[in-house]
Amino acid sequence: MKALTRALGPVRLRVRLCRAARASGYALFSAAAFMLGLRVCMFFVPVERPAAYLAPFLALAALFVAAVFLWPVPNRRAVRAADDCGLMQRALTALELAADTSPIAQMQRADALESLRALDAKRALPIHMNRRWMAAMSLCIALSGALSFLPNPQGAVIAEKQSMREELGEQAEKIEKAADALPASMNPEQLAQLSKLARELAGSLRASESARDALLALNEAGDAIQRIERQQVQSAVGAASKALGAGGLGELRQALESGDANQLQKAVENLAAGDSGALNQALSSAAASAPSGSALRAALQNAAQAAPGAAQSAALNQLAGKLSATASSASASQLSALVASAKAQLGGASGGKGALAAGAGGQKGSGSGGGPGKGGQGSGAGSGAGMGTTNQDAGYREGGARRPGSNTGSGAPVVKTGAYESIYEPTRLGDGGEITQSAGQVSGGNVSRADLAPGLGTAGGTVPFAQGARSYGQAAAKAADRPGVPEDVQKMVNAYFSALIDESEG
Amino acid sequence: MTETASKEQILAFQQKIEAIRREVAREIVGQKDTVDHLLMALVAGGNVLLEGVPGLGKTRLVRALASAVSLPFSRIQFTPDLMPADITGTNIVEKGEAGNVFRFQKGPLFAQIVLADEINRATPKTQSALLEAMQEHAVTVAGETRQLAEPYFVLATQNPVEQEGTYPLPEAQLDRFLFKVIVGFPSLDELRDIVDMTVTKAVQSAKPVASGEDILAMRRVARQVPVAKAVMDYALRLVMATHPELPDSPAKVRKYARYGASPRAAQALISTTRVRALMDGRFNAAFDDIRALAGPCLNHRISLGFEGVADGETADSLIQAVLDEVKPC
Repeated sequence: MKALTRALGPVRLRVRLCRAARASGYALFSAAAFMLGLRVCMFFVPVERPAAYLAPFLALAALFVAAVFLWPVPNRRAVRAADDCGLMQRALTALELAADTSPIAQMQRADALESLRALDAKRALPIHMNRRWMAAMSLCIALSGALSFLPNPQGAVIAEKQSMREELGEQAEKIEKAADALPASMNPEQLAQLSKLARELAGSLRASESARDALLALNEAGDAIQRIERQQVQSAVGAASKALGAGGLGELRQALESGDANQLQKAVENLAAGDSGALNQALSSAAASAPSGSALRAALQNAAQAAPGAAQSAALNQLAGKLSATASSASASQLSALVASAKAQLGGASGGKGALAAGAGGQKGSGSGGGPGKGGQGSGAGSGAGMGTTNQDAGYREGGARRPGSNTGSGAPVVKTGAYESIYEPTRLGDGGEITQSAGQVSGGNVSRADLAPGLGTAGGTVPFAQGARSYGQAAAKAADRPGVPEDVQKMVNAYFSALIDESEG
Repeated sequence: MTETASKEQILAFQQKIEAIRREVAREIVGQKDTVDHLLMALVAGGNVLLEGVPGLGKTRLVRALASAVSLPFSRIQFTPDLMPADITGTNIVEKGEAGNVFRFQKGPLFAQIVLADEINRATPKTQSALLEAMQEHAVTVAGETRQLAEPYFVLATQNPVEQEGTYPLPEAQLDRFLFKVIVGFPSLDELRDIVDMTVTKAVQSAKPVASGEDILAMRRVARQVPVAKAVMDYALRLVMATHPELPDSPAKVRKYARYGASPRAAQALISTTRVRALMDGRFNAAFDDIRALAGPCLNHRISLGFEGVADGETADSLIQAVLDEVKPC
């Protein structure tokens, strides 16, 4: 039996090869048919990397062929194959007579073994692919090739996606660089949080499959950065407030805590109008209590040391600017600006089409107020959280007052379209984005409202000078108050904007 | 219990077969298949019905075979007035010293190779007298049964063209024949050789190269040739497929056959397959053996219905349909 099994070895190998060749025919045809199907689908669905679909299929086909090759060939199958090569059932009979010891059985076995050894398995069992399957495969490949020459309407969609991905990559890189450049003077905990946040955002941007995903990630990151900024501001305001309290500058402290620039300016003016000696002493005490090395301490010391009169007034204005900047500035603002810039760029990259619409529509409404919604029947007070969609942030509207609307609703969103300008300065344009409010259903009084993030203005949008001058001044003070900006430049900028503000306010 | 054949006997088989073939070929030109079929039937222990037009050398062939195997040979020309006693033998009265006594006079059936020439010309009564000899290898006369010497081999001939005044063999008798061999017309070259050998030169006679004992030994060897289950199964399925009443039979068989081959056909197929394998130098039966012998084994055992005869079908065409449809598995 062992001798017979050994003698059947070449036949068995040949059977495996023939079987594998047959399976290869099926597998190749299947792969070609799959490729053709994929090619047809690509005319209806944008498929960026067809190889990503084809490769697993080919791997599966190869696995199938390998399994077919490795699948054991039973003795009975092998002897039938050998007999079919002209052995006239010698092998089959020898297998059945394996236990027979009669002379004729022995002679039969010897005859069978001799015939098996003389058998040229390669010639007797030629490997050939099924012509029909091969023809079908060739047809599929030819059709696939022909289809590849036809113009594919999905090509533009794919190109747009690729462009968006490149844009996202660039934004991610910028954000990572900004994260690396975060000032070391920041609270270490906040620095770590921001750094982590920025890297996660960069990762999310790179992994985003659509503009919607990217915008959602940007929104989340923006919210988180704003939270951190608020914490930072609160911390800075707390320290400044403590210092001012220690110096007995109660009015100034109250103005700082209120966050109102006008009140702050008024408090500074009141101080300037008072006794200069007492003021100098109070400012010196406050400077001593301020965190060492901080800009606030320097401003307080500067104001305390300034000679009464115009110099002191200028120094106090500078202090007011510092305090205002303390109340509004944050070291993460650069990152925040980058996030906002990325949102705007992404909007530009996606052409203000559906991708951005989906992203902007994901924003939660956050209006507050008690007035009835326009056309809405509901009158409930509270904060709305309507889910609306809009195609585009229409940006700043001249004289666009915040509409009083507070109803929670789920009415149909208003779809708006507009063109973006390529400039960016979110703090200058718009105060909270446009509020879109739509009429809800009569019975439910549902009103949908979306409070969009600060957006870009239209090309024809203008800002009244009186409204913009103070915020310009604050932005300039904030921008000047950066490490590395020479003190004289800071002073010049502050003086310039103080003069502008004075002029605008008459 | 079957006696196990030794290796020497197995090897001697092929030598004997070759020797007999050689000797027969001295007298018979061509007809290789016919000679082989006769040898197969002789070794397998069956009888043969030879069918062919007159003058093809049937009688000469049988004579040559008998000479080669050195067995007693008798030839009976069957005629309508031939009586059973003419072939079986009869008791005759003989005057002896003790008075008249009956003495059995053996008929021609008591030879070991019997040629029943034109068997279909005798009456059924005489034909049936041959039945016992063919099947039982015994002859019963006046209530006394006499065994015939082994090996016993009956060859009957019939002429397919002159059917007037003949008595076609009944199916039961046909079934007793292991083979029905159609003796074909020789080719041009064979015919030239035949004429050359018989007219121009002196005819050479076959010399005895084997004995009855040798034939019996060969029969024992042949019975031990192994038949794989698949081969056996193939033979049986072929036989089954000749039955028109079975749903799996080929459509042609179901349409044209009146009845199919008997189990005796399966026995004949297997036993002759074994002999053919040995004659071919193998020690096992093969599908090819079955296919090669299906014709001679089955063609006289399949009866055509009226529709088959009317449509010009033959038993051979039905067998071909069976072979085409039934495949080894």
